[in-house]
Amino acid sequence: MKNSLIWHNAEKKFDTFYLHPTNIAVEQGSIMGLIGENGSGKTTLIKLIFNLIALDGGEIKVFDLDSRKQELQIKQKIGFVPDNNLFYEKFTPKEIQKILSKLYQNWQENLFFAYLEKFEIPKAKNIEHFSMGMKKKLLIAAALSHNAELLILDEPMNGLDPVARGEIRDILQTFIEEEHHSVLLSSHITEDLEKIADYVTLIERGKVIFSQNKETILENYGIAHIGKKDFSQIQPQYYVSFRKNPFGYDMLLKDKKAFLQKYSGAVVDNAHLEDIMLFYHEIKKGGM
Amino acid sequence: MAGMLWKDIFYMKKMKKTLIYIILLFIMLSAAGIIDKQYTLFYLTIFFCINLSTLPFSYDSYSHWSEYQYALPVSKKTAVYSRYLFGLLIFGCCFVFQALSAIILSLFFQTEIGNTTDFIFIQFSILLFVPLLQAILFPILYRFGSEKGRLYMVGIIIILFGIAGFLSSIMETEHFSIRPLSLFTTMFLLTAVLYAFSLFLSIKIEQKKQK
Repeated sequence: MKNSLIWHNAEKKFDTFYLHPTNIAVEQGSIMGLIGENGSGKTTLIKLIFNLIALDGGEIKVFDLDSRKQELQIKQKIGFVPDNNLFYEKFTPKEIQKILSKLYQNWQENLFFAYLEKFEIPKAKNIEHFSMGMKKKLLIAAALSHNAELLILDEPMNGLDPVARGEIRDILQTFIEEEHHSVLLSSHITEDLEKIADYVTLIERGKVIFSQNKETILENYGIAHIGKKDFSQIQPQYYVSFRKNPFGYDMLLKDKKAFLQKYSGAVVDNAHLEDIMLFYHEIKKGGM
Repeated sequence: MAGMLWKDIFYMKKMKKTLIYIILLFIMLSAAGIIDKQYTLFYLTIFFCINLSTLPFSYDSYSHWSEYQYALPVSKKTAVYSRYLFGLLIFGCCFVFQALSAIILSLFFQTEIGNTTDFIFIQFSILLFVPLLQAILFPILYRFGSEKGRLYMVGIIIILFGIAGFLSSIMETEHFSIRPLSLFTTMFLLTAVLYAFSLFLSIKIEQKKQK
């Protein structure tokens, strides 16, 4: 499979934040979920793609094009959906269509209006009268109407009810039915990623913890529940971090099979992406 | 570039009602004899047009448009070009409005127009204050953002109007006159040079920005 997006040793230094050399690849025909707490570096990764901030090292390739030298060509192929509506609220979808049609070479007016119809968005009404879900869908319609091959969504599920979130998941899944399409989805709502992501990247304090196939992650990671007495017997290399509870400890395991081989009889549950995120956050808090 | 220009034009379209109210106010003030001199009309027109040409900065900032714009296939340079082009468009509208108003005032209130060619040159020369002010204000708005920038803007407008008023009063008391064509040429060259420099400066400011 070819990659649509590659961060190759991409590095960025700010006064108070450092994005360590990062290597991530987004395969064509897949959805990559990007998770991590606020300030972990998710947005920095996205801004680097758009050359909005300059790389301090490494490179980013989008469809084999260099993010610094071929910025505008790349942007023609990307559909971006920000976390909030960034259109002036007094604009109508029709006016937005007019603006965007002059910016994208492959803009398809009919497709945009078809999406509006599908999403039940009135084309001549001011955006200010739209619900949050409608605003998000309008942004998605705009991102899908210029033959984009890569969709980048920054917290698209924020503030949406489960029905709207389900609709957006469906839109994304339909989008990647085309083999050469791919999606990069940054989200706090890990439940959605568990449903649709093919790959997941966890970033913490500017460092990529893992970037793997979601099934592999969920298959390997686990939560062990250990009593107070047994805790001291567990060797640290078997767990990532732990959290204290009234009865003992919960531990995040990187390899639950290996753990069970060593400590047969231990109680181990499957870990969800949210658990994994929280336990990695514990390391920062000193829970290890 | 056309897309960015359309966006700014749509902002103005949203101001349609306010624009009509202001024009009506101008007419009423003229009818009441408050705007009985061309100068008053000039000051109002210039102030009004400057406000209009800086409005897109406020709307962009209000909707956080720049966060979206940076993902669009438009370079920062093109976006700045488009904003300056919009500024010139406002200047064009402003000229037509001012010329029409002056003609109406002369017809109904017997204000003097004099020689038509001189009249056009004088109109144009004074209205060149619009792009001149744009040239000063746009880089400030790019550098400091619309909120802070507008504060500087009010200060700069007051200072420039003060200087203009002072110079014209000196010219009146000293009976110093300048030929309309010379005035136009001086103003035009000064504005063109400043506009080009301002454009260059704004592009540099935008290109340096990292969000």
